[in-house]
Amino acid sequence: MSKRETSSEIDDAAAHWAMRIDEAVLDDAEQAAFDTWLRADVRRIGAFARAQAVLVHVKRAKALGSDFEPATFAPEREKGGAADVGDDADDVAEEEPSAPTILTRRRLLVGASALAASAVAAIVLPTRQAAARIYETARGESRLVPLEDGSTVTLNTDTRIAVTMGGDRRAVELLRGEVLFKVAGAGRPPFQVEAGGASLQTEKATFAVCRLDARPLQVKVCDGTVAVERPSTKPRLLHANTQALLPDDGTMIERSVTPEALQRELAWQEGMLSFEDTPLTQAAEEFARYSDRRIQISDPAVAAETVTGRYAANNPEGFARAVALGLNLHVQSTPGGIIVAR
Amino acid sequence: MLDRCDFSHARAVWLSRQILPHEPALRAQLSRWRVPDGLDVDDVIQETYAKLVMLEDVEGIRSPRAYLFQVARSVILMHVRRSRVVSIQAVEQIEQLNVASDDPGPDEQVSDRQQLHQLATMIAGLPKASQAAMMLRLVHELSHREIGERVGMTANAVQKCLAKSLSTFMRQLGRGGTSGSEASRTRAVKDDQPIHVEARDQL
Repeated sequence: MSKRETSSEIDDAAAHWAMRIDEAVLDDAEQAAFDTWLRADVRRIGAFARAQAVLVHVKRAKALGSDFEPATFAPEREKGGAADVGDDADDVAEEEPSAPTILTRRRLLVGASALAASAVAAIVLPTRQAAARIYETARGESRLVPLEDGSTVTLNTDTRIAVTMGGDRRAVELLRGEVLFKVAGAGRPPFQVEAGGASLQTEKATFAVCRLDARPLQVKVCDGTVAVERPSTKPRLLHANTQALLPDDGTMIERSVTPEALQRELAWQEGMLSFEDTPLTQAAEEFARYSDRRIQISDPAVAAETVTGRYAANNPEGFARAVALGLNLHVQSTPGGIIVAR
Repeated sequence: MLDRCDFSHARAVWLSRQILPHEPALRAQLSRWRVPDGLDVDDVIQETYAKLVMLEDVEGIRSPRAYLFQVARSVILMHVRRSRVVSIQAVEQIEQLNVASDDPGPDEQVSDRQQLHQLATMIAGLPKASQAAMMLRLVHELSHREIGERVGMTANAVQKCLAKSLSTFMRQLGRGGTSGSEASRTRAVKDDQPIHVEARDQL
């Protein structure tokens, strides 16, 4: 080994193999080349494992949805990374001559397809009118929507919102489901949220609102201050690390929560559900929001067992199996659902 | 050695959820631990992941964060012992270093909450053509050939372009940042590397 390969060179090669293997199964010759490559240095094994892990992580960007606009996030890169980006662009240009022109031309060809909506949005920024725009997610989906004022809204499973932006209005109506708002502030008109008869208003805050059938409206404030108003009551201010339940009878139940607990309850942003000493029935109910596969527990003693830990929200089966292992229970997968029993 | 590696999707998911978020903290720790000459932080990180991918079972690991730190420390110790140049004191020093506590630092918690936002920023930071290819791959799950047909590139060029973007993400995520300044710092570190190689050769 006269010249030891740098870890950065190894990372590049590992990224190549991870992308290649993600695309399709290797043929025999490729597999042999891959094995030879891996065997030569233990760092390559680690770099490849890491490349796969990073790819899994990056794939969560799917939740950004097809009308994610990279341009909304672009200003950051003009600060210090401009040289870096320019450099990369040059490198890429060898492979892709005048890419932007091609994209623009393609856009005309493809018309209003998903491609135009996602990939090209960075180049052509449509001017939005003040009409409300609807965003929604299906069961098991989540999605981050950047708003033009710099705020973001993250939609949890089975959620629907209407956004009105423009002029002196920043307003979102939560029609159903659960959302997390990160409101950008500083000298902008107040940000308003309407949900089930309650009006919330803030200058700048991070807060979640949950509107589900058969449950009281719930507001959780992580950061900043949110004013809550209902026709029946006087406005109240909710501060950071506060949770409020607003049942239909017009009352409001307020309690403070730790940042850690809030964090846990908002794990759905990462596609996870996080429990701490949560009764199994309650956990099963949570999973039911994310999947049509129901977890069924008929034994009350089993239902009262508690669970702790983070689990993938879209994998009730995996959750049931993991829990069964810990609590010494049995899991049976049937077409009708997942049965957990002693 | 290869037959002990678990390159399954399940292991990759575990690494991405349980290990990757703690990598910036580990890197910060490693720079405080002063990695022995001839080894840099990235080497230690790669060898650490190699050990993690060779574990037979990860379900039993209660605190992945503490475990990650422990594995990284064992990697350093192995190198220190093997090099024989380093004094016994250095070994003792490293052995005495506490493995980090189980609580993730505030940085990690923030990044946890902002992960999606971070991903969006990372993608926005790519050159435009790479951005388009990446979005078609991630959101629409098109094959390299299909992406090529839409953006006017060969499948091979798409593969190269995606691999390059992934490699960029690997560098950014390790450093826990996505902002422009982080990116340029990454580049500066990269430029330093030939010097490291020379230093190594002299050993």
